[in-house]
Amino acid sequence: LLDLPLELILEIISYLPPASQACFALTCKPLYNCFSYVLKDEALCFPRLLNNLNPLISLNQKHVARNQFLLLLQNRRWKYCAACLKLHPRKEFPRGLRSLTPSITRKCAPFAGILDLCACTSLTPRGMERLVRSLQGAICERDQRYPILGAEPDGRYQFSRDDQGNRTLTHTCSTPRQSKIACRLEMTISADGADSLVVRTYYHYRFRKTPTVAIWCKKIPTCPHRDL
Amino acid sequence: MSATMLTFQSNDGVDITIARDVAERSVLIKNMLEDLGDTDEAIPIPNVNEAVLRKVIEWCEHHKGDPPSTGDDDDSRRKTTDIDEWDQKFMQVDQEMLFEIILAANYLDIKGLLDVGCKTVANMIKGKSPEEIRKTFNIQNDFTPEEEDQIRRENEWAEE
Repeated sequence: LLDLPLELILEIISYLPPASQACFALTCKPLYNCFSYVLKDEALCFPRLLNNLNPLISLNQKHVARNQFLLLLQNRRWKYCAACLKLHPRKEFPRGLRSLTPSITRKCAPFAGILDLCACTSLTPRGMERLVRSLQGAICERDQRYPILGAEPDGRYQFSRDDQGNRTLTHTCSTPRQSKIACRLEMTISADGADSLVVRTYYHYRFRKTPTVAIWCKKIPTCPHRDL
Repeated sequence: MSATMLTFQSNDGVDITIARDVAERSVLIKNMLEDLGDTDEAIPIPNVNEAVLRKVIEWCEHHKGDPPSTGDDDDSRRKTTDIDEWDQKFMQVDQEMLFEIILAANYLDIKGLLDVGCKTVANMIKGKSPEEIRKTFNIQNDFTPEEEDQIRRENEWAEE
C-alpha cells in the first residue's frame, strides 16, 4: 500500500469517513507526515459546546465522528469516557465498569461531565483538578504535559494575584459567530480552600447596529445556563 | 474504416488481441488511437504485465456497455463505497494484484476500474483501528509509545 503514489492514496482515503482517515494517518510515520491534517478535521476536534452550539455533537452519541474515532483508538491501555468525551487510562475507570458497560456509555466517574466556561474553554474534571492545583501552586509533573484549561496557551489567559494575594487566572475572550453583536467576556478564576473553583464572568455587549426586533428575538449564547 | 481488433503487448512480451471498443475503455488508448490512427502492429503497454493486463481486459469486457463517465458525477460518487456484486468478486484477489490493478487503471486512465479499486482498498480500511489497519496491510508501527501519547494529548483525544 505504501508503494502506491501519493495521489492514489489520496484517492483511496477520499472514500473514507473522517474517523477512518484519522486511523489510517496514525498507522505509521510516513502516512502521518503526509496526512496528519486529517487529524485536525473539525469533526474530530473536542466539541466545545459554546463554540459549536450543537448539543448533538457534544454528547456521547455513536453517530458523532469524534466518538467513532475515539472508540477505534481504544486499546488495552486507553478507554473511551462517555462523560469527558476523551480517552482515559483503563485503570481510572471504576473497577466494575471496566469491562461490563458498553464503551459508548462508560463514564470515568458517576458525576463526571464537561463544564463549558466560554467558547474556547471547556473544563473536564481532570482539567478542573489541574487548574485548582495550578492556582494553589501545587502542580505535579503530569500536569505540565497538558495545556492550561485544555486550550492552546496564548495571551488570553493570565495568572495574577488578587487583593488577598491569592493566585487567580484571568481570561478575556470574545464569543464567535455573532455578526451584529460583539460580546467580550472577562473571567476571573480562583480556587477556594475546598478545592473548588470560583469563576466570575463579566459580559460586555456592544451592538454594531441599533438593535432591531430581529436581533431581540434571537438568542445570544453567553454561558451554559444563560441566553440573552 | 477503423480496425475492430487490436493487439497489445504486455511488458513481459505477451501479445493479447481484443476488440477495439473494449480497449477504448482506456482513455489513454483511446486518445492514442485518435492521434496515431490505425495500426496492425502490437501496441506495447510498458507498465503492465500479462496477468494484470488480462485482469484489466476482463473488467473492460464486462463493462464495455457502461455509459462513459462524465466526470461531473464526483459528488454522488464520493458518498458511497458500495461496489456492485460482479466488481466485488472481480476484486477478490491478493493485495499485490489489487494494487497492480489500481496502478494499471491509473496509468491506462480507466476511471471506472480505478474507482472500484480505490473503493475496495477503502473498504479494507473502514471501521478498523490503526492497529488493525497495520495488520491488514503489513505496515510497521514506527511510533514510540511516548510519541503516540503526545499525539493523543496534543489533539485532546486523551487525558489522564
